[in-house]
Amino acid sequence: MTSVSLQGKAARPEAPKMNGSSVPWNKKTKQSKTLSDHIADGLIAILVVAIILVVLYPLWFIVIASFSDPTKVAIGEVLTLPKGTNFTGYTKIFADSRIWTGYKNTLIYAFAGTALNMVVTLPAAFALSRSEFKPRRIIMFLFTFTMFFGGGLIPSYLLYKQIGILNSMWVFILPGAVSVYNLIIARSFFETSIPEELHDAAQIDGMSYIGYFVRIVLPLSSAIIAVIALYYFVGHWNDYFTGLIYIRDASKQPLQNVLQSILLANQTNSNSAGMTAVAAQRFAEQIKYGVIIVSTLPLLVMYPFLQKYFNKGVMIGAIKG
Amino acid sequence: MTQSATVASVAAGQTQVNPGMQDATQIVPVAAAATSSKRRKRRERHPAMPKHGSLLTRLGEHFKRYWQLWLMVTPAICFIGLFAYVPMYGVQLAFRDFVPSKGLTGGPWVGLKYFRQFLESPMFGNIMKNTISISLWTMVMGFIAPIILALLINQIGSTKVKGFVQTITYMPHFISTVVIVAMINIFLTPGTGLLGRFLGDTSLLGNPNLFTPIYWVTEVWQHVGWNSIIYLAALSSVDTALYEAAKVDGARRFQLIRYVDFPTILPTCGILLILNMGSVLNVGFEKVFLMQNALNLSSSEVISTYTYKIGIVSNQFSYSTAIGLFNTLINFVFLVIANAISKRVSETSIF
Amino acid sequence: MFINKTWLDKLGLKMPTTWDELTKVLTAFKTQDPNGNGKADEVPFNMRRIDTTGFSLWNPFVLLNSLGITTSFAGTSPSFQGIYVKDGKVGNFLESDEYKSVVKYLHSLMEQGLIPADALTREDSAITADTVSDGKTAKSGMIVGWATTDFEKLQDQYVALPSLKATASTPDSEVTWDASQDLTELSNHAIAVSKNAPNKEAVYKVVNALYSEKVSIQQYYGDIPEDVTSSDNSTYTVNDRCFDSSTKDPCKATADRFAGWIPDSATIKNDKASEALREADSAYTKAFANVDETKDVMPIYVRPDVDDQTTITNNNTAVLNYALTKTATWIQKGGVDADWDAYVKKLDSVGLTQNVKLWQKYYDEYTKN
Repeated sequence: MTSVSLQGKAARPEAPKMNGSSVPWNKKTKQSKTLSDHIADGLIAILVVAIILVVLYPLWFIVIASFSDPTKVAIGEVLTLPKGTNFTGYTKIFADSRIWTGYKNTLIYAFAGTALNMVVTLPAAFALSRSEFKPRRIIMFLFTFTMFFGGGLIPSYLLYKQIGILNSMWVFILPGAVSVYNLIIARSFFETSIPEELHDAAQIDGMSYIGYFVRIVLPLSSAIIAVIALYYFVGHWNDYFTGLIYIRDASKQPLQNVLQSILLANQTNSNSAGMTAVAAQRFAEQIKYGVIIVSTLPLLVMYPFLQKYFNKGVMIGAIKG
Repeated sequence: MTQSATVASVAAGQTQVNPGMQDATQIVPVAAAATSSKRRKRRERHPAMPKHGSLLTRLGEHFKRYWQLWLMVTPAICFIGLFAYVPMYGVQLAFRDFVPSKGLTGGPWVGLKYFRQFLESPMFGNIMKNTISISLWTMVMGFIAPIILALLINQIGSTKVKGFVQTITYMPHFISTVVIVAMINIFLTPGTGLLGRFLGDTSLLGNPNLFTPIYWVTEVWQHVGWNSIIYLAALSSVDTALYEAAKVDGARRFQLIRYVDFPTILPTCGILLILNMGSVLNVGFEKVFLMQNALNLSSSEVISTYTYKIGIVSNQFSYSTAIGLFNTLINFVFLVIANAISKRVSETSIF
Repeated sequence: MFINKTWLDKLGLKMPTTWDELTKVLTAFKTQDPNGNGKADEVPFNMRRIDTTGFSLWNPFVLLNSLGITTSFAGTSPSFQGIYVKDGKVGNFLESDEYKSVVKYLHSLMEQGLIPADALTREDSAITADTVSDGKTAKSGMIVGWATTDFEKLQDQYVALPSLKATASTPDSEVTWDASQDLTELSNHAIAVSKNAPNKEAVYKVVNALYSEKVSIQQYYGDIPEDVTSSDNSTYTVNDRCFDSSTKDPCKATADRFAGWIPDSATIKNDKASEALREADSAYTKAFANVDETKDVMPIYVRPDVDDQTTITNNNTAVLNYALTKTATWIQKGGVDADWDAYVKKLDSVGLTQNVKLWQKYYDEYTKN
């Protein structure tokens, strides 16, 4: 008797509901912890706390720097709390109405783009993970080659112009449809984490490749789907270059480009002399920190929703006795 | 046979963790044995294609079997073909003298002139040495750290704490390079900096010998959390039955990590290592440029900053394209070598 | 160069006229707490760090002028790469003895703690912070900068420091000052109209409007009437708040470069920025008298042709990379005498001599008439 069933659509094996703990070895056997376990726990706790502190402090610094007087930040007076608190950085950022168009555009491009990414990348990764598919070697080689060699900016620009995607939403979505890096990672996951025996069973039952992929592989791959979706989404979110080169209308610019132009509007380069140089510089520093917060917050809010896909344990072929 | 019964019998025979195994260490050799039987099974499942017959019949047979796989991979081929291969003619700029009025491909062919120019430039040796040093250190440490972090986080008992630690550690990934370098400067300022106040009256950034360590330490700090996500995802697919059986056989925490967690993420490690080898000469421009100052320049001038500097006054498109091409060519060679080695040593490879 | 007059007065010191006197003044700044707050937080010489790509604006090598080498550091003029002209002969000050002297002097200042020990790594924002301080207590004794407006609220404490003599025995005629004005006068910031523009008539009307007097004033100084008051006879008075960098309501103006033309017939009152500049400039009239605009400065119209320019740039990358690193090390740690000969030899081998020859060629060609 096993706990796996393949009635109709593959039912995703349920991890037995234990007391909120996700640590595997505590699931079934309720052994009491030995001394070495406690020591291990203690060591781990110390390490984790140390890591959190080391990571957390600079992050905290960014938050308080975005509220502080930039002069005080520069001379090192800002350590644990904001000094000379003011919201000028943020008012300058949000006073610019383009920021809301920026947010809107980025959300559209990121979601639409990621959707296309997943639809194109995952099936391809699956197909290329099939060892019996002989052309996969040459295809992978040709794909990997493009990670290193490219024609550069100008040929790409001319191409986009010719197919008419310049200065439109599609330039954010189409050219980047496949990231070979993500493809390789997804392919590697399919190769190693889905046991071939499942395919045997599926074949015996007359399932085609597509059927197998959709009904069995995908449901079991929630972890890698979440990771690749995250990578693609963040790639779209942080993309500054596409908007810079290929977009003319300010109304189509995504968030990163809007933020950069706000930052630049408050900066001068070292060739600009005069008191404007000194004056503008001061707020540019503060805006720099604020920009990070503004552009990252949505991502941070989104992440916990994806996290649960990484933490679920997968039980394939659980056996008893 | 009903579907469930079929799978049940298959699943029962699949994991070869037999009860009554005395030692958790036997899991590893079993896994190894399973691999070679894997190859055997693959040959059984997929009888070889007919070797005889005309090309047309063989192709026909191939497509009859695999048309679905072709269907799944074609969209990707189309996108990459169009957006990566069509513009590739621009690469010839490295071999031509750029004449603006004649366009990208109109200039006279000069072959390897610019490559030679780069190799013979007096700064070549220093630049390469710096680039390789910074890049290798970052690559090695940046490869090991996320693995350790992932293994560590995986050990945390409570889901909430686990999630919290994950979120905190990956946040720095999103900070822009400009802010990172600004923070490095502020923290290392003698007298007032968080670290600088203990380190004398000159900033560490003025010491050419410390440039590489500062670079890779901050790189690791910034990206370790993000890079550990993929390993955590891989760890989440560990067969929990393995834990149980090992635990029953008396395996302690550290042994569980070593014999269950670690082999699970090994294929992922392998692929990521190969991919990382493909960035062996990529030291990003922005961070190095911002961290450079007159005192550490002997250690901090790398290929990307050099390319920038020769481009400031006169736009030497051909020269900089040639340097870029040289850079990526070496990266590619490393990737191919790493791939070949990996194929020989383990079963993981990219092509 | 600007020095804190209030501190000089408080400590009963005269304006320094030579390098030695400057050292004495800076030492007094450091030890006698002129800003009166009981802390030894004065930065005697708030020096900017040396760039990695060349000699940019406000670097400390304006001191070369004390030895007769006229610099011209604004923008990317040849001074940026070390090229200078003296009596019609082109040279590169990187290999000159004058350069050695300046480096030695700067090192001596650093050794005595008169330049912050981390000056060569400090970022611009930290330098600005010490220049501007908190608006109440001055921190910097001396800077190399643009105008006293650099000090914002503290600007009244500072005055321009006339060009110094290197030693008491340097003849007055040898003392020059940085002559960059050509570069800022003849900048290339203007309007260009594409030949494919659809409504050329309308475009030209707009350009005309931009170059009209009233619109030009508004581009440069701010809106009329909120920022600038306009009265008869083309007289304009600029609002004070346009020069207050900490105001939350700045004037909307370019204040630096614009596409316009302000005729000489227009009178601008209360243009604090220009007034500060004029004031700073006046300190150097004596030094400027020693500068011949053609024989001692590389005129702005001397331009190497494309191929030679490429050679010059490529050589410069190597030359400056090496020279600037060495310079920074010498200022920080000393040792310029011991390394000098090997340094000059190395510079020549990576293209410095070739560059000087090229510049001389074009200088001769362009100044023939």
